Amino acid sequence: MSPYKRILLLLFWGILMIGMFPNASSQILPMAPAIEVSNVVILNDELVANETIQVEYELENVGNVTYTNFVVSFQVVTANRPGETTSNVLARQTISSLAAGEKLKQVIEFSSDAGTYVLQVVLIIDNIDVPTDSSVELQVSTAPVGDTQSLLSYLAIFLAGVIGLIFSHSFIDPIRVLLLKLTM
Amino acid sequence: MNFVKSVQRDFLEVQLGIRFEFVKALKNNRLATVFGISTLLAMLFYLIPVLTSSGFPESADAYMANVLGFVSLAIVLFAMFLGSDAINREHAEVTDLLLFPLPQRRVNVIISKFVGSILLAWTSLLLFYSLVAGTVGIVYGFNAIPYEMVNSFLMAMVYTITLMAFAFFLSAVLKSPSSSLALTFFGVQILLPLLNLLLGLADIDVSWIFSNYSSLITETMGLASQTIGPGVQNSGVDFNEGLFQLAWQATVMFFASLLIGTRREVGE
Repeated sequence: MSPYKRILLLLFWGILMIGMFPNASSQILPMAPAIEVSNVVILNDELVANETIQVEYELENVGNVTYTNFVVSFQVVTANRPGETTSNVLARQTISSLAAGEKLKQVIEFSSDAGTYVLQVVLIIDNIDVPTDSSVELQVSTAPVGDTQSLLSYLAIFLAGVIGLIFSHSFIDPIRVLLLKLTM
Repeated sequence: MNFVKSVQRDFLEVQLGIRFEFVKALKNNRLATVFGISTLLAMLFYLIPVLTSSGFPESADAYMANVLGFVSLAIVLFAMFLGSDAINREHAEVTDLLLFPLPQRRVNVIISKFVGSILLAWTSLLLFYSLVAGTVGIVYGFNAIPYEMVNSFLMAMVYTITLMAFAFFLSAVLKSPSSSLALTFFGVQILLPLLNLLLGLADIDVSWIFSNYSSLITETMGLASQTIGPGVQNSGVDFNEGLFQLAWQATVMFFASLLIGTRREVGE
């Protein structure tokens, strides 16, 4: 085999191995943790951009192993906004311990830009992401800008300005006549 | 004593001028036109789903974002019909010669035209918002009408003042009523957005372009300023800066139209 062919073959195998590695790594994952996520509920009445959003969820350890220091992550899986990636993490919460058979109710807080999102709950155990079936849809609206008082003040100033303009004419004319008399 | 009489005369002239503007708008069907525009734009999003059985948007917010997106267009049309030929038509039709047998201060004539046009435009806006509130109430229930709609209405009133000042300015600068009429519409709808785009590409400040602040009419309600495409898209303009820009530009344009309008020769 010529050296060129050897290099090409080496490159081919290298690319093949690199390409296969992520798949291979996912296949050697440990068994899915026996944690169930349920009752994901948004506590806010209205979701406004950049204000605190509270989401309540329940964790239940249905297995017989105690899990320690694992992370519950709320990740955007779909979004109706163009250019939004599917890996955006909106919030993370570390759970110190969940004993076998234990049930836990948690509240997670975060804020978000305006938009429509579907958040999926992902458990991160030993740095490995384990997506769950639980998801929640968020419709975050923009915060109203401005206030009634400023707008009313503006309109009041406008009205005063118009009245002042009509008034000023009668005010300026005598001054103009007086100045004319003084200068003559 | 002369001063008091002078003030009384000024206010009487302005009051008569405003009443004259109302009657004139009624007689030459302009009032009917602007009321028709208000009704058509406000009812369009209600009537189309009813007539075609296509269904309304899921939420009242989505419905209002669609309808109120047309307020700025309505205001441009109000300014076009009520203000864009207010000064130059008097010269073009030589009706300003009436000032000789019926003397009035020319400043008062222009002020009363301006105030009259704004009051008529505000009345049309009130009709528009009442119809929108009514249709929201019918479709989504009257509890779905948000308080922020008042802010949106007030913002629309503020924007009307600036747009009317712009129309008056064009009416004072241009001799032909038809050219000022066309330029009011195309200026706000095409030329200013085009200028905004070009200057934006060149990274030049565009905060002085008053038409950018029309988005505040919907954003004061927390609604999307742009309803094309999914999601909520906002212009990102600042409310206080918007008020400031609209205020100073309205003042400058109105005073400029006052100066040019009063200095133009009668019968010119």
